[in-house]
Parts: sequence; C-alpha cells; structure tokens
Amino acid sequence: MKFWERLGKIDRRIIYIVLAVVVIIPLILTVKLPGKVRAMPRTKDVFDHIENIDPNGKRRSILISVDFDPQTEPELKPQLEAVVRHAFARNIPLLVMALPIQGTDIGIEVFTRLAEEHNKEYGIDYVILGWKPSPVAVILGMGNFIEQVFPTDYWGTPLSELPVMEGIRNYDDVGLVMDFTGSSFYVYWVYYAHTPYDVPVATGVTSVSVADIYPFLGSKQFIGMLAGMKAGAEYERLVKDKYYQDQDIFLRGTQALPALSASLLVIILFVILGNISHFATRRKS
Amino acid sequence: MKKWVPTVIFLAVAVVLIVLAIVFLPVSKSVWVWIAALLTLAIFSILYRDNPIYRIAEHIFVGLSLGYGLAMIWHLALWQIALRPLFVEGRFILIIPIAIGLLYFTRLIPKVSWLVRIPISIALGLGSGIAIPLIFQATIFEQTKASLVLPEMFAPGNPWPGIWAIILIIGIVTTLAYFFFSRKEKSVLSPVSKVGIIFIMLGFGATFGLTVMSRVSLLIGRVQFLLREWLGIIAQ
Repeated sequence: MKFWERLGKIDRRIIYIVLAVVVIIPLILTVKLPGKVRAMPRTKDVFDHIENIDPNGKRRSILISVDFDPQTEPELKPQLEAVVRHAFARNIPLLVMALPIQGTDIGIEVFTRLAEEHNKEYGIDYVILGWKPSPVAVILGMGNFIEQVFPTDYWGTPLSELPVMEGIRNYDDVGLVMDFTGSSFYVYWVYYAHTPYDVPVATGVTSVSVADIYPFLGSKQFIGMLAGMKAGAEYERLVKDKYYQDQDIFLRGTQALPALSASLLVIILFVILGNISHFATRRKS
Repeated sequence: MKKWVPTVIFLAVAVVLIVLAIVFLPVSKSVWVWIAALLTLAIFSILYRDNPIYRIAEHIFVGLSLGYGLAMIWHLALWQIALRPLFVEGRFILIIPIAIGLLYFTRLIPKVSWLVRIPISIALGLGSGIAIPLIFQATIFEQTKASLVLPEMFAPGNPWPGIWAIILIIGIVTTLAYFFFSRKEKSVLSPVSKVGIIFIMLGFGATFGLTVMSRVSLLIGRVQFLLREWLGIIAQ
C-alpha cells in the first residue's frame, strides 16, 4: 500500500488522539495567541448597544434569556458571563429567564457566582424570573405586562416587592433582549418580541447556527450576534479592556482560544491531506 | 480478543490514572465534580468503540434528563400554574383549561379517543392565529425589504453596501432558480441555476466549517472542565 493510500485509510482513533493532544497542550502550557483578540463587527455591535443603555433612563434594563442546556455550555457560557460582567460593570438592572427548563439552573449558577464577585445584590441589581411553559405565550405576555407572566420570581417572592423591578413593566422598559441559545429559540424572540413590540434583540449562538442568523442581521431584526466560543473570547476582551484592566478575572473563552485555533488548523490539515489522498488514489484506480 | 478485554483494560488504565492524579495533582475534593468527570470519560470511551461503560453513562444521562424534566414540569408548571391555584387558592375557573388539557389523554381510551380533537384544534387554531401574521411579517416582509438594492447604498467613497446587496440579490434569484424543478432540462433557467449551485455550495462550506468549529469548542469545554475543575492543572 502506497503512502497516500495508507493515509486515506488512517484509523479514526489516531485522528482523535492527535486532536486530543492538540487541545490539551495549549491549555496546560497556557499558550497565548500573538496579538490581541480582535472583536468582529457583530460582537462589537452588541457591546456598543449595551454601552449605550442608560442605567437611569426609560429603557434601562436587559432581559437575558438563558436558552441553552449543559450540552452547549462550552460555547455559550463564556458569552453569557462576559455580557453579565459588562452589565454589572455598568449597573444595568438584569432580568433573567429561560425558555427551556434547563436554562434556569445554568442562569442561577452563573448569576450567583458573578454577583458575589461584583458585590451585586439579588432583588436590587438582578432578578431570576425562572421558567414558564409555552415560549410563545411567555414572550407575547411579557410584552403586555411582565408580572402577568411572572407574578413571582423563581423562589416565590412577588416581583412587586423587588426594587430591581421598579419602573420595569414590559418591553418598553427593556433596552435589550439578549438571548443565549444552543438551538433555534432566537426565532421566537424575533417573531414574538421584536416584530410586535419593536424591542431590540441580540443573540448569542453556537457556531453551528451562525449561518442561520445572518438573514436577521441583514434585516436589522437582531442588533448584533455573538457567534460561538470565539465571540465569547472577543467580548471578554472588550469588557476586560474597558472595565477590568487592573483586575484579574477569569476569562473562560480567552483561555480556550489557543486550543480552538490549534485544533482548527489540525482539522484543516487533515481535510487537505484527505483530499490529496482521495484524488491521488482515485487517479490511480 | 474477547469482547470484554478492552473494557477491563480501559477500567484498569482509568483506575491507575485516577490514583496517580490523587497522589500528584491538586484534584477536586467535590464528589459532584468527580461524578461529572468520570461520566465525561465514560462517554468519551465511545471514541474507541461501543462498550458497557459508555452504555451505562448513556442510560444514566437519558434517565436523569427525563427525571429532571418531569420534576421541573411538576413544580414549575403543573403545581404552580394549575394545581395550586385551583386547589389552594380556589380559582375554579381553571377547571375549564385543565379539563380541556386532560382530553389529550382520551387517546388512550379508543371509545372516546375522538375527544382528543378538541384540545388539538384549540392549540392549532390559537397557534396558527398568533404565529402566521407575525412570522409573515418577520420573515417574508422584513427579509424582502432587507434584500432591496437602494440608490443610497452606493454612497460616494463607500459603494460596498450596494455591491453586497447586488451579490445578495444574485444569490437569492439563482438559488431559487435551482430549486425550480419544473423547468425543462435545457431552458433559459439552466445556466442561472448553475450559478445558484455555487451559492449553495458556498453555504454548505460555511455551515460545515462552522459545525466543525462548534463541535471542537464543545470538546475544548469538556477538556477545560477536566483539567481545571477536576484535576486542577490549569488556572481557575
């Protein structure tokens, strides 16, 4: 068997081992990429929009919908954490909810940890609304009156008793709906929040969904998009540079970026070698 | 080689590695982190081949997901929205929607199974009534508007928005032409649809690349967890 033939029939487990090594080594050696992480325009759009929210104005709050489960956490958690840090740094009130059930616990874990880190208080700086069934009814209902859909927070405290909800009645008081999703929940926010109520909506999605989002960006139905783990690292960089220059904060996405770059280079190499092997052996046969 | 040999080898290697990790590394003392780490490794074992350890982890995952979902739906939906308001707060008006919902279960009784049409027709009617106008507005009208080529897109000094808009229009028209199947084999649309194939292939290529990136990111996330939370090798 010739070299190219042998290469074409390489055991997939060898490829897995190579990939594992390429992922593990940059993480252990804490390799840093040359130069700074540059934010893509779509990431910058989200950052700029949050920068322009006036914490004392009419549309002063951000509604964060944690619409993902543990399976897509590695891509979406860095984005969520970076956006929450940004909002906490700007003292923007946060309303947290979930359309799928699993999102609630992820939201509680992230907000409890980051609130402690930023000295933010539950009920004053943020509220966990929780989960309710039927996404369409929930989203449309909140456009009318948030307390009609969520009369209490996740733990049963009436929303009217929480200072963070003061003056926040419906989407008219929300400066941005930020949806983090590993599936297609973002369309619900476009169809049932942006279209009837004209509330600004942005989304953080896994890389695999990016191609589906672009039509909504072109039509400005989304004001911006965070695409995959890379966008998480980009947003972390923007937030760190502006608000946490002297602080040592954990940047989940930035830590993963060298491993992501290295593994993608290896996969590109495998694709090229696989194609060469395919054409070399096909011509021969 | 006997079928069980790889499983035994995997278990032996895992035990040795775990003992070494406990002795030499600042491993986590949390039982939950250990359970998560061992289950992650058990799922990864499928990369070698199908084995009982993988299947145990897979069954635990399916069972847990179902149990978690049921418990949450009971507490956050059934109890909070239906049963507590009805039985504790005495909101008897809720009997109507609850009774309509319960009609779904008539499917299990052949003699009255036709009653299931009532909740289905209500859900379909309501759903369509709400969704159709909004989805039309959000997709057909907004997207058509966004694909228009307008003179102001060719601003002096920056004609790029206009150029992109023209490329977008070409992409839309040629791709639609490709999916117009009732044309003759050698019609005017044939060369147009060939251009459409280029756009479709570009779309597939982008989607494939993004899918690879997505999957690798998930792998990195798990490796980060194993190295950071479990083994304590990399910084928090």
